[in-house]
Amino acid sequence: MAVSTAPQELDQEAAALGRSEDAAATKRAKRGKLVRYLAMPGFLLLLNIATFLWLSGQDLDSIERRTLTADNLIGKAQEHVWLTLLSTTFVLLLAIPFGILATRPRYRRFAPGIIGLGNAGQAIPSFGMLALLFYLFRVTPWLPSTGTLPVVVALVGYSFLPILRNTMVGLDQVDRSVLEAGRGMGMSERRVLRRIELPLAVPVILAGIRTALVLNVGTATLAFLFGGGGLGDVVYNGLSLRRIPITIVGAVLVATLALLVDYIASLIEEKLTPKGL
Amino acid sequence: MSDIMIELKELTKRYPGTETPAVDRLTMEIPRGEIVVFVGPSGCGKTTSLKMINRIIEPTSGQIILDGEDVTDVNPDQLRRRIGYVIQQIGLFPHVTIEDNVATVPNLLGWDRDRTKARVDELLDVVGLDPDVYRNRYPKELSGGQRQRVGVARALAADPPVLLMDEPFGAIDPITRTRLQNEFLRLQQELKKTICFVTHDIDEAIKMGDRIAILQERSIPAQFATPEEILTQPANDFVADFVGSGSTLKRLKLTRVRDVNITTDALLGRIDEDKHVLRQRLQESDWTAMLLLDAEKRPSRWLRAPDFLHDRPVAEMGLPARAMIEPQATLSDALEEMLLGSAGVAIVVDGRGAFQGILDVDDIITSIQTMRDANAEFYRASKLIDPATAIA
Amino acid sequence: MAFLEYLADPSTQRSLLEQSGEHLFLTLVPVAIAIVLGVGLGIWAHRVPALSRTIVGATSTVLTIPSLALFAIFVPLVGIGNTAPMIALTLYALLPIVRNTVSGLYSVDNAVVESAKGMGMGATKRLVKIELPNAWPVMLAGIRVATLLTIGIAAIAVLAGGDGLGTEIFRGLRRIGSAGAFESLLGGTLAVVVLALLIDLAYLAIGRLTIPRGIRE
Repeated sequence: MAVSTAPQELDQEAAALGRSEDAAATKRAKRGKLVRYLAMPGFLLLLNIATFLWLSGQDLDSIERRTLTADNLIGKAQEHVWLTLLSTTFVLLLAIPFGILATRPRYRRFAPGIIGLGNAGQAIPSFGMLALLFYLFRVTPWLPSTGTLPVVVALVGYSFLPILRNTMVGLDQVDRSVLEAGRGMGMSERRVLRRIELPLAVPVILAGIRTALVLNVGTATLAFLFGGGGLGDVVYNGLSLRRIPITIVGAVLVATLALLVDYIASLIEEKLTPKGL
Repeated sequence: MSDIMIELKELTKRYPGTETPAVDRLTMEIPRGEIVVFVGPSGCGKTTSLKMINRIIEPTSGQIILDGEDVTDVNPDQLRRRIGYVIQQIGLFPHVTIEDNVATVPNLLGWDRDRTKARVDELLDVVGLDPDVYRNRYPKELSGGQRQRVGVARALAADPPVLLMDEPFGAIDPITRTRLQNEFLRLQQELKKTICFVTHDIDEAIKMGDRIAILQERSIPAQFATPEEILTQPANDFVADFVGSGSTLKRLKLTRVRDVNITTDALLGRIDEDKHVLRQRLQESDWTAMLLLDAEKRPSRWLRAPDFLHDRPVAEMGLPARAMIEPQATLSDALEEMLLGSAGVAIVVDGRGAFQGILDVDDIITSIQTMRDANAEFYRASKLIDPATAIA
Repeated sequence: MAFLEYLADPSTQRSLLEQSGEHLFLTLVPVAIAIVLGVGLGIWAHRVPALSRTIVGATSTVLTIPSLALFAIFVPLVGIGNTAPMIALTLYALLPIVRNTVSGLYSVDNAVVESAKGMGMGATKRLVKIELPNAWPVMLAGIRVATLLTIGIAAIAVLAGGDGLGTEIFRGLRRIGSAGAFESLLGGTLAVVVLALLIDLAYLAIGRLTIPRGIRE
């Protein structure tokens, strides 16, 4: 799921090369690190410039001209980002506390069942699941049937299980290695949670944020099907109207947004991960 | 046919980016049919030296002469099929049966099916694994010791004249290791392979080696000599340090059970004999204990006079016979077994476990005495002070 | 129960069965191509560690691109229909296969490879007879993940003019608000799930048949 712009690997390589105390090698490693940091943004920039240049050479008809305005595209992108952020926030607020709770000794016996459910849930196609969740909103009279809310709920509903599952698996790994050591030193359960488990869980939570962002930016592409807009709308417009320029621009923008979100998330993950983990 | 099997000439390995070579101009002649042990501290390049012989590690410069032929530049795959290779981690192929593991090189050489099959059975038998039981098993179903036996069988499959062994018994528990070492030495008496053996354990080197190369950094030989010479005439301080103290005890490792007189006329009985017959025989002898053998002449139980007071079947009387050793075991092994066993003696058995004789502590003390006398003689002759008497 | 009536309808059964067949075609062909490409790339990445990160990185970048976008990107080249989604699905299936091929090959005990080398097995023979069979359980797990992933994503192919079970879901979606919408949504979705479970069972059987007994768990 995650793009390997791999910060730790870079550091390791830099460290390994640095050990040889070869100034040239260190310099090369630094440059290599910089290259890899800039590779993704550079690639996306080039991709978009190329698309723009190609588009300028095209003879656009009225429909294409109407769709491919900066205002329209920026609006769709904003909708897309907004949907992604909202659904990511909600799913994390739900899944991470729930995951921490479900891995506590008291509830641990439910953990395998929940993780199993999470695994099984991966067999459900996003398309069908989103549609079903959206449908439930439409047929429940006291729930709003249009606007952002049903779409966000559908996105949260779809990404909840995978994020919960990842959180639990991650916390479980932290637990097994450290819990006993902490308890062995005579720390209370709460102290172990606060002083050891939560700090060690930071990477798990950061990974969860990144996974949720990438997952949601992807499924938000389908939000247009439920009236939620987003860049998927542009792509589907192009496909259904058989307008190649619209299709291409939409696809490039969706890909750019998704890769950019993943790239930024990877940087955040790298910066916030405590040193030594 | 020259009596030098492997000749290393100025063999050097230099890794890129390092100042000093890992192996620096190693020159050595390895006689046909002998076990030459490379021993030295970790990082001295002994394993690198070994692995250059079958070119798992390609030498940077120098020559490898195998049986008179320069093999430094021949096709390495062809070369390796002529050299058996046993490593510490064994490296059995986990996905195929024991039979297919042993058959690896014969298959590479294109032997026909019947010949390969016969050879596999023969070899499993040689290393003490019943072919009918083990042929179709998988490596994971075997113990560490059994796996290493298969490893040896696999290396011997195409009957290569040369074996390279890299700490072959290093990852095996001490008791099994001693047994495997002894079995291997027995095997070698028949096979007469030329063997290069790497270990970091000087005791193992003394036990296994016909000749020992004690290697310093960069694989520079500090001494290349027989174990006796290395123990009695260390070439320099490095060797003396490495061989360490307790040389007299170490010398017990030089002498094998087959080289001392063992008691072959011990009082014996068969496990299926009548109790009264056995009792009478014991009473009429000057022995205090009788050894019962089973139908295959394998030692089974020790009986003493008081054991007849209890009303038990013969097979349950007395104590189980333990402390069994083979003729190629060293006196050190024998002593260890005696201390662990209940009867204060070691029972000497052949490869199939059949009784050959009995060795007791007195036999070992006599042997030590003989060695000390010989040594004292050596030191007197060379006008040196015997360290053993100096301390005593 | 309207859903049971829907399922009992022969025309439903016929169309779900037909769409399941299309869905399988839509998935298995890309997976088959991805196996050939992915195993090849994996072996290459394992042989040349310097390339490993680039190859795995590129395939995982592909997986970050939302499916509708990747489907759409190939439409200008091959037109509306099944082909564009199938190209995209092939790319999606690559990552698990490449990654598991690389890690599977790395998981083979060095001592095993070295002893094969020490007995005079050449590089190709070593790969075919020793490394790949021992890496196979991990590789197969990757292929399985790739297949299940592809089955789920293939439901979106309908938006790029493809067929498969997405057709039934899309039918339901377009009729939301009128009768039969829910049945189509649920029917199409469940059919994908059932297909995934069946494929999963098939992989269990393939594992039993193809993983050598000596390295089975």
